[in-house]
Amino acid sequence: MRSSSSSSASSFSAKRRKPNPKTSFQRSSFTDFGSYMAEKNRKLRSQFEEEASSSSILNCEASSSGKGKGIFHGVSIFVDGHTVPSSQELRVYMLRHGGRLENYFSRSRVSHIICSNLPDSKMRNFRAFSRGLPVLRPAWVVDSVAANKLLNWSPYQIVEQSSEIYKQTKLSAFLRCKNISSIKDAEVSSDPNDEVDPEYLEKSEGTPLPLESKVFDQPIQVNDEFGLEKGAQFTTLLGEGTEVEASNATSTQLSIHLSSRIDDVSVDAVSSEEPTNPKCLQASDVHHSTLTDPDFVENYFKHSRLHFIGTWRNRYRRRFCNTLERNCSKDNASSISTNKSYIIHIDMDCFFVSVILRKYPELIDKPVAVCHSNNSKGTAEISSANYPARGYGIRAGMFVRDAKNCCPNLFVFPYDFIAYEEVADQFHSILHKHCNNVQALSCDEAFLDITECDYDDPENFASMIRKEIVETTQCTASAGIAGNLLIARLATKIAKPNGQCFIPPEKVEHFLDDLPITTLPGVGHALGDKLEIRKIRTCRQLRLVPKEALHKDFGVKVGDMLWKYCRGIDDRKVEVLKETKSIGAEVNWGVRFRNTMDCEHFLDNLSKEVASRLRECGVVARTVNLKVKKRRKGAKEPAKFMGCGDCENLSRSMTLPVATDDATLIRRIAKQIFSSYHLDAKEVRGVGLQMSRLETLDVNKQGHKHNVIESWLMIPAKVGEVTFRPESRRVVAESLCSSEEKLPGMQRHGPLHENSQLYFDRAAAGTETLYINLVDSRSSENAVSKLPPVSHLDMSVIKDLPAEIISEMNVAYNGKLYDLMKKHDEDQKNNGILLITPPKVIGGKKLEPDATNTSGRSSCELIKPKKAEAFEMMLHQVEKPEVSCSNLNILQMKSTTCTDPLDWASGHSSKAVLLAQNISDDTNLDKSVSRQGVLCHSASVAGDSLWNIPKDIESGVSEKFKNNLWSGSPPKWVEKFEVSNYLILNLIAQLYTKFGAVGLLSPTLQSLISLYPFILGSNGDEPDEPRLYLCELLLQYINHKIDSDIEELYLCCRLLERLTAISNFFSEVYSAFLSRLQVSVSENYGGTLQLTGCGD
Amino acid sequence: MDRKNVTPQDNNSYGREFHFFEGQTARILVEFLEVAINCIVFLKGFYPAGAFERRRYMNVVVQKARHPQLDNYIHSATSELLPFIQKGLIERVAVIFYDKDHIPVERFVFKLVISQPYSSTVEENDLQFALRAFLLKLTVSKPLTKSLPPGSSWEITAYFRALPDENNDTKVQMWVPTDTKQWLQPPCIIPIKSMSSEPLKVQLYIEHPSPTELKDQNR
Repeated sequence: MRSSSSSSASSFSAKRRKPNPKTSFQRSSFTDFGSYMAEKNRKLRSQFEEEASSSSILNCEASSSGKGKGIFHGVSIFVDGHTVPSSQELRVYMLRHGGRLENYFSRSRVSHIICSNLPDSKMRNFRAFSRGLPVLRPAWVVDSVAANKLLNWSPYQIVEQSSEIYKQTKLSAFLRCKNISSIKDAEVSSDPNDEVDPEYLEKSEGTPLPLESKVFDQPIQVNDEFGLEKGAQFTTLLGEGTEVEASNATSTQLSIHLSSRIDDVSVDAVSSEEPTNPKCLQASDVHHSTLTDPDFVENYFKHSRLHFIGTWRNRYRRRFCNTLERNCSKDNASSISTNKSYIIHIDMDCFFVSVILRKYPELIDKPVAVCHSNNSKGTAEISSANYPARGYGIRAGMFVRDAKNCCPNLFVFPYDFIAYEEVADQFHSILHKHCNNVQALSCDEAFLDITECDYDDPENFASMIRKEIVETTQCTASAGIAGNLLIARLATKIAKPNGQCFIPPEKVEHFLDDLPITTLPGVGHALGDKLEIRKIRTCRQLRLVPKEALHKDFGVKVGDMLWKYCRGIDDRKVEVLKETKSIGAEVNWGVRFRNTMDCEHFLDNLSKEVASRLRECGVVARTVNLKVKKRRKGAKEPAKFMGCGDCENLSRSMTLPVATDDATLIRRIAKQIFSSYHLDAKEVRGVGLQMSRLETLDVNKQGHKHNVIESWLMIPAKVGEVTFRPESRRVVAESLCSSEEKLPGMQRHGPLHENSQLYFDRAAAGTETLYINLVDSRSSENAVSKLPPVSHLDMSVIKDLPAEIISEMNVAYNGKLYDLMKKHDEDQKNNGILLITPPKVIGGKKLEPDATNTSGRSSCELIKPKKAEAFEMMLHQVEKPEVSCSNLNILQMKSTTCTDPLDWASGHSSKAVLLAQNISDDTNLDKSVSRQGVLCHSASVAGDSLWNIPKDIESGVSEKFKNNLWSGSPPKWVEKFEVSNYLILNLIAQLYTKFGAVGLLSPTLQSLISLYPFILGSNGDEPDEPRLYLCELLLQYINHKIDSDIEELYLCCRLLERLTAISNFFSEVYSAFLSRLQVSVSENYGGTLQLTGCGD
Repeated sequence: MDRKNVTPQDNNSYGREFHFFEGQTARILVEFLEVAINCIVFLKGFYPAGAFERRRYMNVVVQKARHPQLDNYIHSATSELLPFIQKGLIERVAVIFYDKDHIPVERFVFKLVISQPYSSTVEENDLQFALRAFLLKLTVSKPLTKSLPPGSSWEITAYFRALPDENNDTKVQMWVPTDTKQWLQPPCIIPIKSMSSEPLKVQLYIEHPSPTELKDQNR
């Protein structure tokens, strides 16, 4: 017997791997057997429905008086094998009375299985066959029709057949087996069932167990004796080598877990009652693990207590929405006039048990516990126990097995969520009736701020509420009354059960003195243990610890909490509604996967669940977090059946650009994260999907338009529509503006539009070139439609283009380009002279005080508006290659009379920036480079002119430099350098203001390196003064930093070294700096800095 | 030798030494030193990498010695420094690597400047942020260091501004005076990281024997 059953078990597990036809339901083409079956099933159903609609119309008036739905409404039968009456007759019954008949077995659609006999093999693996559904004799249908109402099916169960019958029909059963096997092929095996074949009982105990329908109808009769017998049944089954497990919240059904570990099975005959509520039986869906149940996730949450508590909040929110909102507005207005506030914390006494016990008043004094499952192994955890049970030492979280050891006559009940909801609603309506300021903590627990309520005495008020609760719900509640939330909550602990406790503020300290620290909310095992190590057990002891020490040891947050709590301080307010921070779903029980496909399927369902929860709350979320529990290496199968056991927790999140509640999107992200863990699917023991960064739906819709990629795509489309020139101007002007914003000193000046008018011309030319250069389909269209005038092209850019493109452009310009380039080369040479010549002109001008002061700065500024016109003109001239060099020279001479040469420089450079941008294709990185280019370019022109400064001006400045340059913030030297006449110093000052926020010089030097080639690259002969200033600055910098930051000095040293490589202006500065630095370092650190050449 | 034996736990006990150098800052510094020394020893590859485990400190991945003795040595050495740091006695803390003749090959020096009296203005977070930079820099400083010759050893040395008064102070015991061999020539210094906040300035740099010193030794 034993061997045969285990072999059949293995055969079942082999069959499991066949594709389930249901999965491919959506596909219409018959690519495989599964889709064919799906299609066939669908067709059969629609045929059935057609017939049903026609036949039920005929019968409607005749049969059902009053109820139009037919007696079999909601019933869907599957007829297995030969029956009397035949399946065709049964089908007609079903048709007529609103029921359905499935031609092929499906766990999700069939509600009852009808058959006359069962073959031996099916009997033996009864659960696998029935998949938890009731297996009934056809008489049930016939009798129901006769009685014209749906009869209780319990008496018709197939298990009640006497054993002789089916023994005699063994042969026929064997012959019919073929029919059934096809069903089994398509089905996953390993199934639960609440009926146990009496044969097993006979074998084990010798006496058949009369399973009366009465037993099922009246759970009160369930007693220990019965429990024992049931237990014996389980034991027998265990003996068969299959693990039996009561499965879910309703727990009336048993499962055979086929991955049987015979050795592990404990065969202690634990007594267990079967809470048998027929309603539960019908409603119950069986789920065991993700392996067997495709709708696992759905069922899981249907039966999870934690889920009930979790979703209860939403329900509460909806239900009490009106009152809550009213209170919110009221709350703000009245909170000022608080005189002496009292808080009541009210908590139902062992809510989950007492609600159940309303139906069983005689059990009130007996030990009763509530548990999601009541199986023989007792590996389910007790979730709540009443006070008599707690007297036996039974606690929540205990295994049923252990609980039964403590108290053998413990009654264990399953959840009754409907009742819980009802009572919770009653409870909260009472609270809301009496008090406006209610903070619901859970379904059975709340804070009331009774400051504004009409009451004479808080204690009377509390007892009045409690009395009403008892009268309405038949369940008791306890209350704690105190000045704040913390003490109120602690008072409730004392008050329990069914009492109340008032702690006036003056007694708080005394009350806390000897209170164990672990009773404080927020102090759990971990924190408790840490405190225990420090020998802190009571609040009195904790009070002796200074706040700083608590911060140090526990962090600021927890430290603060401890410090306050042990003094009875709690400044939290009674908040009516707390905003939901995240929404998610987590399954840590029954999670077993065979392969990645299973995982993905599971994630599918989980995503759907989460998405539906998001929708329920009317929010969308942006961050997806996927938590995975992974079996710890070497961890054994957990003691709790299908529990998660010892696990590593992995958690990763991903933030989306747009908030969503779309299941497919969530699923995609979840899968992505999941695959990033690189897990073996077999190791997964729990999966949690959580969405955070919630946004309410309507707000999000507005945001949508700004965010989505389409809005970005709109811009180029517009560009194409309008004529090219102004549009490109705008684009370029925008890009210029944005780059200007980041430029130091450049943004200070001028109304932009005037300046940009100037830019536009340049911009247009520039962009046109850009558009030709870049192989950009949409812009090249524009370029082709209207080529820029050949004179607008910037030769320096063109020159750098690949030869092919140049030749292509040459063709476009009818060969003018090559000529132009030749000309440009000549111009270049002349320009080179030009650039050097101006100093003389300007040198004289420098004596004008106004120009002297502004010149340095304006090198980095935008063109002043009043000068813009002159510039535009000038630039037009400049860019025309035809203009001869002498022409240009004159022009420039002219311009110096009305404007500063530096303005010319910056104007010129604005051209450079455009071109630089053209080349860099607007990527940010290159932009910054090109921006620096602007700066240098303008600087270089100006710089040339500025080195030559009459001595009399500078001599006054240098004296001031002797003082401490590095004091103050910003340091003194910055100002001095800024107003100095030397461009290099101006530049350094400007760079420092930009980068030197932390008071370090190295970033300035670093940026100088990238700029320097432009400034002095070709100049051989510089004046000494700026060099001396710079030396002085650096030497003072050494003194300033030597004792605190040699890292910075080292860095400066290195940067200066690099600068020497670029220009010999710095070589002197560097050598002076280096020698001083080494001296200082050896004075302060007793060594020398290791620089290149020194070390190796 | 009837001095009180100082255990690390005592330093964590509450309400002591708050008066002088604010306990918080000193404690963070000591903690940091412990972590940094762990990192240095790991960086030098003195022990096999397996002797360390990855930990997170101030949100930076650092290495911590797994061997209880090693861990204990570093921990006790640093935590014993706390009272001296609080008194502002410590000038430098050096992790010195020696060759087989006990001549220093490389020294990692933490130079501490604690300005006092000071007002407790520094935010713990700012301090942690600054110290974090050290750890980050340390993890990438491998190329700056020299490879160790075989038979090398290492130790933690602290340079005191003044010798602690042994009669008054009961905590000196763990730290013994040392006469480590010094280099003849001034060493070469490679700065690693510096931090200058108001009450506390920390600098970390590596010292190598100067090239001339090496030539002398070779002769």
